[in-house]
This record gives sequence, C-alpha cells and structure tokens, in this order.
Amino acid sequence: MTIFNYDPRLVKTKNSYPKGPNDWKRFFSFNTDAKVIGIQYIVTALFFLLIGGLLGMLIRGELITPPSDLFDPTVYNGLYTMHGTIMLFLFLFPILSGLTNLLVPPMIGAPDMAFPKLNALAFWLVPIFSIILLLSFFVPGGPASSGWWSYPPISIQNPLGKIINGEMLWIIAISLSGISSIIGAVNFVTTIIRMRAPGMGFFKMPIFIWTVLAAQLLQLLGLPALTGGAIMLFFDLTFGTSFFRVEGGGDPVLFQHFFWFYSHPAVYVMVLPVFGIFSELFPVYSRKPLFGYKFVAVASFGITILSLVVWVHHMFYTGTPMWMRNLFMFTTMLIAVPTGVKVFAWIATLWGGNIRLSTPMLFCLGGLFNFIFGGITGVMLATVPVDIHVGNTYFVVAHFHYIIFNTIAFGIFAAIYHWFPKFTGKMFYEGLGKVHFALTFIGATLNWLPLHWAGLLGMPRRVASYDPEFAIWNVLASIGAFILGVASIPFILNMVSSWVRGKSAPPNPWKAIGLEWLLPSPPPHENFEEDIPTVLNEPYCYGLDKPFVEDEQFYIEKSLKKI
Amino acid sequence: MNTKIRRLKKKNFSSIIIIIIAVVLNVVVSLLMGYWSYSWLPIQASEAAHYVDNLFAFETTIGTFIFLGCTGTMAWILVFNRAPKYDESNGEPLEGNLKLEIIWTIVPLILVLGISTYSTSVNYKLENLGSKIKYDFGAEVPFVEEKKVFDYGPIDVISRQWNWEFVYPNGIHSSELHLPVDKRSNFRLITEDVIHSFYVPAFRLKQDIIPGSVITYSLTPTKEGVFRLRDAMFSGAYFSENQTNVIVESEEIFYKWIKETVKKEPQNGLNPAGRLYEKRLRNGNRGWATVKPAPDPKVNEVGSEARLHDS
Amino acid sequence: MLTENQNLSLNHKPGHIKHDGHNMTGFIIFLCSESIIFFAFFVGYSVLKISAPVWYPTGINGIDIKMPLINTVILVSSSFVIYFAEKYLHKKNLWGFRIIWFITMMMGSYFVYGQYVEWSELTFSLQVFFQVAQVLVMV
Ligand code: HEM
Ligand SMILES: [Cu+2]
Repeated sequence: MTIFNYDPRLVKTKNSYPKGPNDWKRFFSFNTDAKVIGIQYIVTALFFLLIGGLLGMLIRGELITPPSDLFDPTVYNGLYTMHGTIMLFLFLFPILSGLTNLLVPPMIGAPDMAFPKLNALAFWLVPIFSIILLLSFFVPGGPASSGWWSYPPISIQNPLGKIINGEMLWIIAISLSGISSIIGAVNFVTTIIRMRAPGMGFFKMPIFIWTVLAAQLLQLLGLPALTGGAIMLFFDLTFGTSFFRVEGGGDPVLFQHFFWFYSHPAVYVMVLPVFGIFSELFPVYSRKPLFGYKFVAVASFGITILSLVVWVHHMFYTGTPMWMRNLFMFTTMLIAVPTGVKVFAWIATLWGGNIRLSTPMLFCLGGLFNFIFGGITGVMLATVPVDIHVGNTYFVVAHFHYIIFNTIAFGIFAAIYHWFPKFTGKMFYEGLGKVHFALTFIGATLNWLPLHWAGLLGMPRRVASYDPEFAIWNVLASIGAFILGVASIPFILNMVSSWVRGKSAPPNPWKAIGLEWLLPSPPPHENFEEDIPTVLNEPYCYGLDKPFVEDEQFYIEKSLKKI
Repeated sequence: MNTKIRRLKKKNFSSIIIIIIAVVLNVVVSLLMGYWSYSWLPIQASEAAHYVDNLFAFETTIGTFIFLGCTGTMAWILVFNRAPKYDESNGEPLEGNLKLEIIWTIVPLILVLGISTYSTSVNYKLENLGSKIKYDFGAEVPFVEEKKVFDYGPIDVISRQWNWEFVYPNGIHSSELHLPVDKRSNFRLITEDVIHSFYVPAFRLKQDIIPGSVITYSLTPTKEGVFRLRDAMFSGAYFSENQTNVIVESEEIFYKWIKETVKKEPQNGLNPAGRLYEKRLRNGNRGWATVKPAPDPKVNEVGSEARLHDS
Repeated sequence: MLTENQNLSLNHKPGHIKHDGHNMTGFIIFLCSESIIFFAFFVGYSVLKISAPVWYPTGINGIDIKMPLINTVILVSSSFVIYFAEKYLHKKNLWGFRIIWFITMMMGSYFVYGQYVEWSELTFSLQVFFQVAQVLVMV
C-alpha cells in the first residue's frame, strides 16, 4: 500500500499506522486496529459457540430419556451451568463486540476506535477469562454448578471447603468479562459521540449505530450492579462474609435483585444490535428505504430506558409483594410497545419491496419470524398469574432460546454473511449458506418449539431426570439439537474455504447504501484515511434519488481503486 | 383516465376482499388455538387453575392473531414481491407513514394495558401469598399471625436438600401432602438450607421458599386426585429428585387419615436423593462435588414413591 | 495515480476526524458508570438494614465512625494536595512540586496503613486472603 498526500497532522498521531505485522500473524498479536480486533473477537467467539454447542448436545443427550443415566447429576449440573455461561459470556457478548468493532468505525467514517489500545486490551481479556473458566473443569469438585444465575445460598455452599473451587473461578471469570465489557462500552460510546463523519447528525446515523449506542449505554448503567453483586458473592464464598449468607443475617434475595438489575438489561444489550442488523439488512434486500427511520431509531432508546425498570419479572414467585408484581408486570409489558414499533416497521419495509432471498436475508427473515414468536411468549411470561405457573419451567427455557438463539444468533449469522465480503475481501458460497440456513432453522425449531409444551405441563428447568410424561417433547428437542450440531458443518466449511480461496469481492456486492460500502473490500487500515466523506442524508434512501454523501462518485471510484 | 380510476377501484376492491378473508380466517384460527390451548395444560385442580388457564387462552388467542397477522403478511410478501433474477431495481420508496406509525404504537399500548389490568384483577382474586417474615436462621420458626381465617392449617411445608416433610397442626409428620378438597388450607413455607420452590403444576401455583424467612401461603384444591409437587428452584445435585405427591381427598377421608396417622409410629420417610447418594458412594463416589443429602425425615406417614399421579 | 483522475476530486473538501483527545469524554463516561458499583453497595447496605429483624447482625455491636472518618478526610484532601503539586509542576517550580508530592505520598501511606488496621480487625480476617495468595504463588 502506498501512502501519499497524508494530512501531516495524521502522520504525527500515535496510532495512525498499524504497528503489528500485516499478514495472518496480526490476528495473534496485540494489534490495535479495530478491524483486526473485530475478527479476533468473532473467530474466538465462534470457537466457543462450538464448545458451548457441544455441551448443549451433551445436555440434550442426557435428557433424551427420562432417568438420569448418561451422567451423574452433579456432572449434569456442571455441564448446563458451563453451557449457559459459555454461550452468554464467551460467545454472544464477544461476537457482538466483534461485529460492533468491525462495523462502527467504517459506518460512521471514523479511522478507528477512540481508544485503540484499550480496545485491544478488552479483547485480550476474553481469552484470559475463557481459560480461567475452562480451567474450572479441572479443579477438585468440578466447575461452578449453580446455573448461570449463581444464586446464593446454593452457589456459596462450597461442598469441599476448598478455597480454589469452580464457583470462585466462575466469579473471577465473570468479573473479568465485566471489565472487558465496560472498557468496550466506554470505547464504543466515546467513538460514536465524538468521531462521526462531518454531516452525520444523530438522525443521519445508521440504525445499527443507534442500537449499539443504546445497548452500550445499558451496559454502562447496568453492569456495575452485577459487578457489585459479584464482589459481595465472592466475599461470601471465599472470606465467609454474610451479605447473602443467611447464617450471618444476610439476604439471598438481595443478590437476585443485583443479578437481574443487570441481567435483564443484558438480554437487551444482546438483542439491540441484532435489531440494528435487521434494520440494516431488510432495506438492502428489499431495496426500499427503512420504514419510519426516526421511530425505529427512537424506539431503541425507549427500550433502553424501560429495560432498566423491569427486572423483577424474573422474581414474581420469590415472595415479591403484590403491588410490586403488578407494577413490574406493567413496565415489562410496556416494552412490547417500542419492540412492536420495530417489528411493524420491518414488515412495512418488506412490503412492496423487491425481495432477494440471499443467505443473509434468509437469516434475517427467519430471525424476525422467531422473534415475533418469542416476543409473544415474553408477554405471556410477563403476565403474573401465567408466570407463576410456567416460570422456572421449560417454557422459560423455550422463550429465551427463541430470543437468544433463534433471533440473536440468526441475526449474527445474517450479519456475518452480509459483511463477510466487506471485511475479508472474498465472496462466500451461496449454496452452502442456504444449506446452513435450512439446517439451522429446522434444528432450532425442532429444538425449542416442543419445549414450550413440556413447560406448560409443568416440567421444571435444570432437571437431570424427569417424569416419563414429558419424554416426547424432550426426544423431539434432542433431535433438533443434533441437527443444529450438523448445521455447523456447512457454516465452517463455507467460511474457511471462501476466505482461503473464494472469489474476490467488489467494494459493494449488494449495492447497499452506507459509508462502509464506499470503502474497498477489505477496507484499508484507516478506512477513509485523509478523505472522510461528508454525509448529506440518512442511509436507506433506496430509490429516493437523494445523494448519500458529497461527491459520491469520487468515493465509488476510489473504492474501485481507480484513483 | 377514467379506465385508470376504474382499474384502481377494481384493484382496491379485490384487495379489500382479500384482507377481509384473511382477517376472518385469522380470527377463526386464533379462536381455535385459544380453545385448544386448554389441552396443553395439566388437570385443573385448584381454584387458581381456571383463572390462569383463561388468561393463558386469552393470550394465546391474541398472540396467535398477531403472530399469524405478521407472519402471514411476511409470507404474502415473499410470494408476491420476490425480485426476478437479475432484477436489481428498487422497490417503491416509502419512507414512512405517520398515521400508521401512531396507530401501531397506540394499539399495542392499549392491548398491554388491557392485559395487565385483567391479570392484576386476577392477582387480587387469588391472593395466595400471605406474609414473608424474616427470622434468625436456625432458631425456632416464628408463629405468623394471619388476618384471614382459613379452613385448615397451618401446615408446615419443610423443604431441604433433597426431601419434603409436612407437619400438620396436630403433630403428624408426613412425606406426602394430604389436603382436603374445596377447603382453603394454609401453609408455612420453610427451608432448612437453600432456596426451594413449592410448585404443583396441577394447581398452577408456585412459591419460592427463602432461607431465613417464613412465608405463609394458602390455596384451595378443587379436585380429588394425586398430583406432583416439584421443587422448581434449582437446589443442587439431586434437585430433580426433590419431588413428592400431593393427595387431595374428600373432607371425610382426610380427617380419617389425620386421626389414624397420629397413632402410627414415626419411621423413615421418602428420600430418593439419599438412596441415590448411597449408590454413588458405593460406586466409588465419582462425579463432581455435592453436599450430603439431608437424612431421612422421621414421619408418621411414609407414602409411596410408586404412586401413580394424575398430573 | 492521483493525478490521472484529479478532475473528479476538484470540488471536493476532505473531511477530518480527530484521532486523539477523547480522553476526557471517555473518562467521564467511565466515572459515571463506576459510581453505580458504589450505588449497589449502598443499596445493599440499606436493604439489609431495613429488612433485618434486629440490626446489627449478631456479633456486631456498632459501627466504628472515627477511624473511617479520618481516613476519608485524608483520602479526599490528598486529591486537592496533589492538584497543587501539579500546579507547581506546570510552573516549573520543582522544589515546590517535590515537597507537596511528598506530602501527598505520606497521606497515601497513612491511608493504606489505616486500611490495613481496619481490615485486620475484621473477624473473617485476611488470613484466608493470604492463603489464597499462597496457593496462587504456588500455582
Ligand atoms: C416483548 C418482549 C419480552 C418480554 C415481555 C419478556 C418477558 C420475559 C419474562 C417475564 C421472563 C421471566 C420468566 C421467568 O423467569 O419466569 C423472561 C425471561 C427471559 N427473557 Fe424475555 N421477554 C421479552 C423479550 C426478550 C428478549 C428480547 C430477550 C433477549 C434478548 C429475552 C430474554 C430472556 C431471557 C434470557 C430470559 C430467561 C432468563 C433466565 O431465566 O435464565 N426476552 N422474559
Ligand atoms: Cu427479563
């Protein structure tokens, strides 16, 4: 790459040029380039998706028959705890950080993140806490086995009385993950507030940026509460204090408040960027402007604010007084309103479009389909009398997998396919992508749809054995889980082979509007370098004849390397 | 000009017909689903059950209507708005429609307002949860003064890792919960170690039991039979074994049972987790760490693990 | 290469985004967020206090106010002191800087000492902590 015409101010700045090597080795170094970090995050997270998926299939293997015959129940408990923890903290959060890293700077025209070194630090914490978490399989007594909630007193029982135990490593890993997320959040929010391209006012930002901003603000507001709770839990476990230990006058329910004050918003931290992905992709593949851009943008913040005041819906049956249950039922249901605004806007975007069913679009449509379903079961769960019956049963498991896997993971797959050409410079294979979609959709539906009925009939979650009347639903679910396992094969095959020897990608293979599509594929280290475009209109002006940036033609030619 | 308007009118007319047919179909299917939803739930065995089931059926109906409305529209679009191969032109550039957007903000708002008002009123009708009183863990469980009068009780529900024990006002200890039908019984929910949950799916009722607190709870069974009581809050290694039966009997049989059981000598009650743990020890104590199960409770009525349950 | 197509960029003013100088923004965001940890601690304390059947929990007779108060005053005032040290540094008055810097360090040391005294008085003691440290060192 030759560099010329650099603004001298830029050459002087410390991080204007990558220090690391410029080949595959850079992915294994402390590289400060957001695009390298993004790919590091995504690949690490996908690796843990495989591990977590393996654990999930072991769980489903145990549950395919009513008695507990594959593992000792203690082992089962450890496995499901680690499954949940790995999927949330080692797969979902990192992969979303990865996508955010890849997309935010190019989408707003920034050369990099505001704090590149902190950014690299946030990433490198991931392998560190992942190793700590995985090491807990090998300590005496086994890993943490009190569920991803880690409710006391069960989590601080410490049967062997050893100081180093699975639960302790679990808390350390989660706290490090929290530190990594906070660093990331400070970085993303600062970048979005301070480093947008000229002309890009708030109401000209892509929706993905809106949702990232909303999600990361939630992270900043909620996560410290969990950190505080985790510190107290750590002290109770290790030093014998009694914040939550009943013997010394502590209150175990207090932990549940700390935990859910963060962990409810956490689910929105994960889903908001996926709402962003939907809002980006539907216009591209139906070739229409996003319907009601402003409503969709503002709805993200409606969700942010509301999701801070609904956490008690996870505690309807813990002895919460009536007035509080009614109040939190009401706030929870209110969330359905901004969420509904988004869903209707997406459908209206599709309406009358010119729909192209490519792989990313299929994942988006599948994700939207499942999200409508999961949102409806969510409202059922928010209804106190219904929740009193189905809470803590497989109905809840089915609900949140419909959201977390069937919506969020679908959106993530859509994003990976959609932006794959941009950041690797290679096209993926459509055929394999469609096979991946079909297997994923069938597997996921078979896995989680039947479990709603198991829950309605009263099968509690987290059981290692169950009464025979629930067998049919569990057999179906297990078959679905194994199909999902198979679905990973075309995906891995596709990603690896197309990155290694796929066709070269043009700068804008989907004819999409957006700053990132005005860059070459893959974009140069500093994105627009010295020539940051001036934004004139919001993205998504398909067919509207409104110019997106000043001198658009110049950037298009530049991205084609004609200049 | 004239023909164009006529054609437009014709198109409008046919689309109105299609919409009407679709909505009617959707309403019919939704009502059917709501009707059908009763069969997805266990037997209704307490007075809470039909409130919960009605609420669930109501939500299933509305949910189905919304779900089919949205996905049906999506399906329509996928069938009729597909881009032909190599066609990369744009769709109709609609940027929004204020009226529509306001409608789909207000209508869901009214809907959820309605649902939460409805379920709040159900909450006030049920009132199963009494009071929650903290006490010094390990000390005597305090007596709880109740404002309301109950037909029977209080029965102490004692949960532990991992068995249940029920103590009746006349001092009977039992491993199974016997209750008189159609009578409001009152409980004190107590745990000796971690959080458990008193969950009887046939009653549609669930209440966590918190260490360091005594919680009073009341309910009215409405159907005779044998129903499963399951611990619903994860409580450690043998959590899934922490189940027992609730036996709802006519008042006569219930009081006969009370009278006869008092005379029985206390013996070891149900404790499947204890048996499994002994097996594990015999097999070399493999597996990951667990606390020891509580010893077998000493009860007058042992009950039976093999008893068939109705739901 | 650029020269060939320069007619394209003739009327084009390149935009510019600052790389650096966002530290203040980032720091303020971070501070606001971290203060929520302490908020959590305070909420925890008040909930425990309000809902306890008897306050204080068994084995505790009251809160020691004096020592923490002294420590707090020293900790808080040391940030003003260090501010003056920095002012001297800016004025290139090295001796002034050194003296005040030294005072700050003394205050800091006293604070650490105070913490040591307070923590070693607790019943759960730091012994467990040292044990953990030992094991970690061994690993
Ligand atoms: C219309 C929107 C939604 C409503 C009203 C809703 C409501 C609820 C309620 C009331 C529960 C508690 C059930 C219980 O534990 O008894 C719950 C659980 C859960 N929800 Fe949702 N939900 C909605 C959407 C979402 C979204 C968007 C996500 C994720 C991004 C999500 C993820 C979860 C998770 C992970 C749990 C279970 C946590 C656990 O128990 O381990 N939900 N939801
Ligand atoms: Cu929630």
